[in-house]
Formats: sequence, C-alpha cells, structure tokens
Amino acid sequence: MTEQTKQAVPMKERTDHTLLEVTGLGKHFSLGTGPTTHAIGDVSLSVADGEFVAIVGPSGCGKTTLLRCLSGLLRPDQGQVRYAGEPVNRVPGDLAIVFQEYNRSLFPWLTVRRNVEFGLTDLPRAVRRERAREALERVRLEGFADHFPWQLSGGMQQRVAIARAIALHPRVLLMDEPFASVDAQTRTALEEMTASISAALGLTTLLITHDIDEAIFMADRVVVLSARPSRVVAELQVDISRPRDELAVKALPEFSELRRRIHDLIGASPAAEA
Amino acid sequence: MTTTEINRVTGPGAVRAKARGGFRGMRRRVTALALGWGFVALLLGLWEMAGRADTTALLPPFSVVATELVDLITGDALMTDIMPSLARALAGFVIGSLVGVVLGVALGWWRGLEPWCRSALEFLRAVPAPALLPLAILAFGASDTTRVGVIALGAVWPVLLNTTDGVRRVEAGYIDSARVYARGGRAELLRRVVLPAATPQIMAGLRVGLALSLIMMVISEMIASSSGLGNLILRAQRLYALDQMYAGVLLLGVLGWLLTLLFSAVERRALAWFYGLKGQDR
Ligand SMILES: Nc1ncnc2c1ncn2[C@@H]1O[C@H](COP(=O)(O)OP(=O)(O)OP(=O)(O)O)[C@@H](O)[C@H]1O
Ligand SMILES: [Mg+2]
Repeated sequence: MTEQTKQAVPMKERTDHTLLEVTGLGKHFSLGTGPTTHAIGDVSLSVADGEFVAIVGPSGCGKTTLLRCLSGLLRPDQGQVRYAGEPVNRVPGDLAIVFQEYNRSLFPWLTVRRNVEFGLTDLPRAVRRERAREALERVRLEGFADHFPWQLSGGMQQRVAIARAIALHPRVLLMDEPFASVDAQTRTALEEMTASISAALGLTTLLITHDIDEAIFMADRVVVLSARPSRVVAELQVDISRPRDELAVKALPEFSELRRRIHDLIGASPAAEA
Repeated sequence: MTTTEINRVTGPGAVRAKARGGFRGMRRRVTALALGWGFVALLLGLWEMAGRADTTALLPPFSVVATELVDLITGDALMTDIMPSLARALAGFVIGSLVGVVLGVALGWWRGLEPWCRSALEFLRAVPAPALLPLAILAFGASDTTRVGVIALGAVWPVLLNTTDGVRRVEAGYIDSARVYARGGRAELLRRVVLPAATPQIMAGLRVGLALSLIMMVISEMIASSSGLGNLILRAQRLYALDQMYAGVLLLGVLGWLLTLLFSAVERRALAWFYGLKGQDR
C-alpha cells in the first residue's frame, strides 16, 4: 500500500496487521528545578494498517505530547513505540504530520506551492510540481499555489498543511486537532474532505481531537484518554458505514449512543491534577 | 462540494490581499513624505536665517554650505576623500558582517560553544573598537588595513549577537515541521529552515552594523588617515575652512541617509514575507 495515490482505490482495505504500536508509554516534563508535569501516565494502543483512529481527551491531557512520541519527534520516558515492527527513533520516512498550530508549522517565507513541495527534495522538479499540484487539487486550493500561507485564512492554511502531508504520499497521517481553530461550518467541510482523502489514498490515519462528534464522524475506532496523567480509558468501535455524510451520521441513534458514552467516560475519568 | 463553496466558507476577505497598495495607503504615504520634507525645509530655513544673523563666523548659512558641498562632490574631493571613505566603510561592513554571520550561526547552532565563548565575547564586545586603533596603527601602520579592520570590528558585534539570537530562537514548530518533512539531517535543517527563519533578526543586526561602520569610518579617518571624509572635516577645521567643515558633516549625513535607504530597500525585498506576516498583527 505504499505507492497508491490514484482515486481509483474505492475504499481502504481493512487488515488486522498492526502498523503503529505503543506500549506502556509515559512522559514527564520538568523545567529545571521547577515542578514536573506528568503528562502521559501509561498509554498503550495500536493502529492497524489502513485504520482511521481518533484519540479524544480533555484539553491539556497530553495529546500533542503523545503524538510527538508516536512520531519520533520526542523520546518517551517509559514504554516504547513501534512502527511497522521497528522501534521508532526518528520520524519514519512515510509518516506525515498535520500540526495543531498551522501558523507555526507552515513556513511563512515559502509560497504555498513551495511549502507543499517541502518534503519532496529527493524527487525531480517536474515530479515535485506534479505532486504539489495534485495535493493542492485534493484540498481544493489549486488557485492559491503562489500565495504565501499568511495571505490565507486559517482554514485554508490548515488545508495547505494537509496538502503538504499528502504530497509526501505517506503511509501514515497523524493529525493534531487540525480543525480546532476554524469556524464550525468550515470545520464540517474540512472533516468531510479529510475523511474522503484518507479513504481515497488508503491512509492509516490517527486524528487527535477534543471534539467527540468529530472523532465519531471520522474514525473507525475512538480511543478515549483520561485527564493528565493520561491513560486509555476506553476504546470504542464506530460501526457506521462509509462514505459518511455528516448530517446523516449525526442523526443516527448509534451516533448519539457513542457520543453519550464517550462524554460520560471523559467526564467520569478522575482528574489527577496537581 | 465545489471549490468555490469550500473556499467561500472561510469567509469574505479570507484571502488577505497585500493591503499595502491601494489609493488610501498611497495618499497617506504621500502626505507623510510631504510633512517630513516640509519639516526638513523648515529646519534648513532656520539654519539659513541663523547663519546670516551670526556674527561669530561659527555658523555659515545653509546656502553657503550647500554650495561648498556641491563643490566637494564635483571637485577633487570626490576621488581623494569621498570614494575612499565609502570604499573603506563598505569593505569594513562587508567583512564585519560576514564574520559576524558565520560566527553568529556557529554560536547559535552549537550551543555547546556558548559556555566556552560567553565570557570572552562579553569582554571583547565591551571594548569599544576605536580603543584598538592605536594598537592597530602600531601593527599595520596608518593603512587601509587598519581602518577597514577597525570598521569591521565595530560592525561585527551587532551582527554576531543578533545572528546568534535569531538562530537560537527559531520557532519550535518550524523545527518539528522540518524534522518531519526535511529528512536531510542537520545541514538541511540549517539551510532550509533555521537560516531563513533567522533572517529578520540577522537583517536587524546588519542595519545596526551599517550605522556603526559609518561611525567607525569617521573615527578611523580622523585618527589614522590623510584622506577620507573624516580627515577632510578635520583638515577643514584646522584651516578654519568652516564652510568646508560643515559641508563634510552634511555630506556624511546625506551618505548615511542614502545607505540606510538602500539597505531598507534590500531588506524590504528580502523580507517581504516577514513584513506581510507582521502586517497582519497590526
Ligand atoms: N515542552 C514542554 N515542557 C514542559 N511541559 C510541557 C511541554 N509540552 C507539554 N507540556 C505539558 O504537558 C501537558 C500536556 O501537554 P500537551 O500539549 O500534550 O496537551 P494537549 O492534550 O495536546 O493539550 P491541548 O488539547 O490544549 O492541545 C501540559 O500540562 C503541558 O503544560
Ligand atoms: Mg495539543
């Protein structure tokens, strides 16, 4: 499933082959002699090849920290991360990330096109151009290639970040609250767009969010984290067929049921705050 | 969903055009320029009147100084004083800037160097560059080596310190992005992310370095030279040629102003992205 990029693939195939696996992950932060923050308590989870997993958890529970550990950007204190069977020491080559803060992750000195091409330096120029064009088309920004990111709205910038990720033709896409700072309407549009891109490209996707509706609407499985120090409270399967339509999905009884359960789980998890 | 739909959802004015142009902005700029030049004209007028009223001969009127300045530019002084001065200032600035950027990047990049260099740097920076002129004259004579060297020494510090700071303070989000999307290792990270991100601060250092270069040029020419604008001003003062002395000072001001203007133009081109980005915060 490495080189498939054409829309021809109807829907991702589900296999039970584990692609990303975390066992007993823990992470503290200490600032010099100051207080230490116990961000991640004990998290274990696995993501199967081709699966779309959402991680929900209250604000500040260590979701971003978890994503940075998962991707090899940050070394955990305890536990280990395996990607395709190998321990993760650096960011794997076929893993792409859409960060939470798009305005601090896109490079403001590069145009949209060059941002999208940023990860493709190994390829010949013509191929790079084509990949960027294709990625921008998928996020419907083909007309903005020569703009700078800061000339675009927040939602558009986040789409540039998504284009940069998919231009890499990754196997795994990690997204950290990608739609947290856009308005509700844009958000729905972006969720639908992202879900369909992920399906079309057969990506293994891990979406971090604190929005329960978003998690259920987009994912095959929802992992619920507790407050800090976080651990996995529950994992819930979302058995709603794809392609999903946002309004239709939200009207389903399964949806409300899942939503209520996750809500209770998050609310009930003991807040081990300092 | 169509393109227009999703792009429209982000709202009107989603694409923030470069709001710098436009009729209103233009008019505001023209007004500002007119006010600025009007005030300069007023000051020159006051100078003219004061000069004419002056009986001590310490203040020639502006018109006399201006005539003298034109004579300077069109006469021998252009080749014997003005050009050598400019060449020294620019040579010193370029050398100081290069050394400052290279050392600054090294210090910002290899943080392990800091504990070693910190005290030495703080001491060296605290020594005013002109204080080293006598030593430089002993070593290299009253030569261009001495003058350019002292100018470079004056320019190097702001460039070095700003570069170090800029390289160190690159947004952590850019570094994370680079670690995901630029797989070429540290050299690529430096070239493609750290240096561009640090450019605004490097430019700020260069701007101060340029101003210091002019100051060092004048000092070095007053002490260790028989040519150049600094020396011309001194010569004129000794001959009590006050018109020429004033003309020299005025010319220095004009040159400094022009160089800064040139620098700003270059900066605006190189950092268009930076001003665009900052323009939104206002
Ligand atoms: N580099 C760091 N140094 C010190 N503390 C940190 C650092 N990064 C995160 N933390 C702390 O770890 C905890 C978890 O942070 P993290 O950003 O992972 O939370 P989050 O779940 O992503 O929050 P949000 O929903 O607001 O994005 C927070 O208390 C934060 O203060
Ligand atoms: Mg976060």
